[in-house]
Amino acid sequence: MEDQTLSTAELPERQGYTGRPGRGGEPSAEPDVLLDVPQLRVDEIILEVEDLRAHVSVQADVLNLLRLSVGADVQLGGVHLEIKGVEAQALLKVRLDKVAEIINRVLATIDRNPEIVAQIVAPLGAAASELEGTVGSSVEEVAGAVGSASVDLDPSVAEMTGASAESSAIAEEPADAEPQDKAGADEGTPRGSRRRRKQEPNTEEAPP
Amino acid sequence: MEAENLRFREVPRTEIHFSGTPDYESATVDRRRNLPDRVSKDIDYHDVRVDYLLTNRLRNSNPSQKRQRAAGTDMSPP
Repeated sequence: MEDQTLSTAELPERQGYTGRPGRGGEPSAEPDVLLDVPQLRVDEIILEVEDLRAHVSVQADVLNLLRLSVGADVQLGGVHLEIKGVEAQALLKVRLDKVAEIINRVLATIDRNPEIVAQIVAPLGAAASELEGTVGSSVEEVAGAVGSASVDLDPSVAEMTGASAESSAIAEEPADAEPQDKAGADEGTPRGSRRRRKQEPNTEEAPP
Repeated sequence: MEAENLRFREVPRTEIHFSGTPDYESATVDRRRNLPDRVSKDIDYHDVRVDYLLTNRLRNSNPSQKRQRAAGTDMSPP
């Protein structure tokens, strides 16, 4: 597959590109994002829609210094219409000059005052350490709880295993009648498998 | 949008909401021809035209500036 990634320098040369970056905060003449449907003709549309939602938004975050978002949310809870001889146009323009300018200013401020990052990251590091300690102690608590539970569980397991062994012996009593070499071949095989294999001939022998 | 004939089988339910942080300034403008603000179902509207403009932008959160918000919950069709 051909790589369609373009660098910033290549982007303006691309056919159909209409964006132009702002200059020092001046609003650009052309939008940064343009969606243009100049003319759409349809003879007839029968439209039935339930809960259609269109959301357009821009979000820009820089650490916890900057949080910008702007958007519009259009919701069609229910539309059922018939329309004939339709001509429609649609145009979406997004200008990001101010957003880019604000981000540039934030980054320039960080560049001139790199200690800002340390001040921001330090609380994050402390929070991470605290979280790590909490997780560690929680894991230890869980491990301890599991350990103590396993002590209590051991006798129960032993009882259950013993009971299970007894019941298995009863249930698989016919299997013990198999030749010794076959039983040896089945060593380590789950008991269910052995029993299923034993049942297969019975199934085949069943009358149609 | 223009149409020779438009009929709503049901009265549509539409909503539009704007959002913006730290603050925003939004507006909607619509112009209609042969289509009322509130449409009725099972009525044929002929030679209809609707121009609809929706804008939203970030703004400086200066409390002295009056917010122009045109968001509503009763935006009529289309």
